[in-house]
Amino acid sequence: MLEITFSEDGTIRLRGRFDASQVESAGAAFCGVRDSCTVDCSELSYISSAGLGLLFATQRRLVDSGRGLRLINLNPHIREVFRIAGFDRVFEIA
Amino acid sequence: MAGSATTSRGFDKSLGSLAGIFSFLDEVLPHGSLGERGRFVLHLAVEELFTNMVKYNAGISRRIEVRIAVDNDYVRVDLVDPDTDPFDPSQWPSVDVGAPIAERRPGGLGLHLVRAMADGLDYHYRGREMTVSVTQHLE
Repeated sequence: MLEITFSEDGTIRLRGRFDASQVESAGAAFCGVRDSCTVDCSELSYISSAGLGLLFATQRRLVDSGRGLRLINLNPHIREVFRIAGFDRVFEIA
Repeated sequence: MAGSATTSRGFDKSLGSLAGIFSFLDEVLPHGSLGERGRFVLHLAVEELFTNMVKYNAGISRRIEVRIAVDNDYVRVDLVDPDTDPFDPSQWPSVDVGAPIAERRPGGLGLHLVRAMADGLDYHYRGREMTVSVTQHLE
């Protein structure tokens, strides 16, 4: 299960597991992202290529207009996945 | 994997089965036997291979059998589709992970992750039955 919360300060918080079964509902949430923002992954325990693909599509759309996602608080396993996918060069990761 | 104990369960060929498959893995594997990273990698590998079977494997079968074999050193998870066309994940072209964002193309990333992170990946195809297996060391 994945929970996506939009804070008033513009931060997106992901909580739970971002697997292929969550992409449809997550896609509906991320398609509303129009500006640069921070994605807090401190409570995200798992991500697969399906979740990566959705974040990537959002990033590509934002980068086209000079914006982007900044990812923070990735756990070590998720950070490793981003590195192997080459996404550490696609996203700003803090 | 001589002397291993094997447990199996069937799942609908649907992304909605993922939660049940993850629960099955956690149920069968001794708590802590894989370590945090090993558990993460096994879940990732099984998801990527299963979703490939759901999305791309033509055939009339509606169920995938998940077999988990554990011995002293390894866990092996077999995903068995009883009636499908062949699809060897080990032969899938590599992904250019260094390409600029505008040139990145969808597809293949999941198998790239599996090949990079899992300890073993095997494929067998006979008589329209396909078995894709992932192996991970126990801690």
